Amino acid sequence: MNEPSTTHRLVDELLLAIDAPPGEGPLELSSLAVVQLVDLIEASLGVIVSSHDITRENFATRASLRALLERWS
Amino acid sequence: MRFTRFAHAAIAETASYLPERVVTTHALDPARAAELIRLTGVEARHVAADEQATSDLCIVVARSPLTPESVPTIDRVLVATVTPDHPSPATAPLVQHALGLAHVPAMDLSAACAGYVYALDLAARAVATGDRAVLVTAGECRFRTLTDAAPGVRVLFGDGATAARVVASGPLRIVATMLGADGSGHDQVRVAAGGSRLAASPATLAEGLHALRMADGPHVFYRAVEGFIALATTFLAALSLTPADIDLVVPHQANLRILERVARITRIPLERFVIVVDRYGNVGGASAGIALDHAWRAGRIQAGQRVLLLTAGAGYTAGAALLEAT
Repeated sequence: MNEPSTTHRLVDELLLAIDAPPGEGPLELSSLAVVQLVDLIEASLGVIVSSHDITRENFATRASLRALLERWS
Repeated sequence: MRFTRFAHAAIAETASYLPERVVTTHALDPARAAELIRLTGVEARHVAADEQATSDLCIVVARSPLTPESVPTIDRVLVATVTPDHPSPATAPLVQHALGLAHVPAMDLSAACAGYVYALDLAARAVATGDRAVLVTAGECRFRTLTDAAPGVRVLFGDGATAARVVASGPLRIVATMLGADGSGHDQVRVAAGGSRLAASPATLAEGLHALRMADGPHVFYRAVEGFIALATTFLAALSLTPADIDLVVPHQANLRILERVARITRIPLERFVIVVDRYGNVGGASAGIALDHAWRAGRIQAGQRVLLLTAGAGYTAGAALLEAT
């Protein structure tokens, strides 16, 4: 498992790439942003993301995204 | 999943019809057009005229595969649609009557975007049990119902129709089909009101519950990809074939990005996919038939080639068919 700091950094980099808002509040990503983010996650981690993980909750905040990515790392 | 091999079933002829009016995504939503095109790949769609309903599109398209000689052989009419002229009665009897196909059975089939393959399967079964020919049509007038839909949903859809004449022996043999459904996803893509669960009322109109809604667009996107891949994998395994044995994939035109992802994960080159979603949008149950007709007319289907029809729709429903050109 990655150290938390690694996951923090990766999530920040991925969200920066799609121009997501900063901070720990709600991300409120558009559908396009989610699709772009999934592409980036798959390219970074070498995984195929399952539809079961594509939920509003998992993409709601930086914290929920970190939790999701830590499961795959 | 229900797998069926057919010894004597074929498509004799296909046709497609797109209404004249074209609405580009830029005209539809100038402010968000670039984002919506990046998300869906849909740059334009054809839209039915105000006076046209689904039966009108099906009647126009059905005239093409009906020669004077073939009309008396039509023993059944099927219309696949989720946008019928009326909740009741069915649209198919209107098509039958307009085409002068006196007294043959005519029924609608509601399987959402898998409707064309579901109808082909039913037609093949009818031919196998004695029908001389079955007229399969699929048509949708979806666009006018989407005024209250989210921009990401509205941009997807267009109107149009397709037809096929299914007979025992013809140039596109129906080798096998695989159909399935998974009602656990029933609430993911639906028109909530207007049926017996929630009858039309001023309140349902005010809440926009007569427009198609997706509970979670991105989830549906990835679920569709998985549905396409699972269906293709299971179907090809049942046929003892691999993706390399397929010359052309004719998918439901759900969304260009979905098809690109399916191609990437299955490692079937995108060049082997027939894609018209950029020009026509998602035409629901008619999409796969329209794409098949375009491919055939463009000479992309040659004798000896195998064609994989691959569809998935709301419900969820899924349908695949293997065709062989003779």
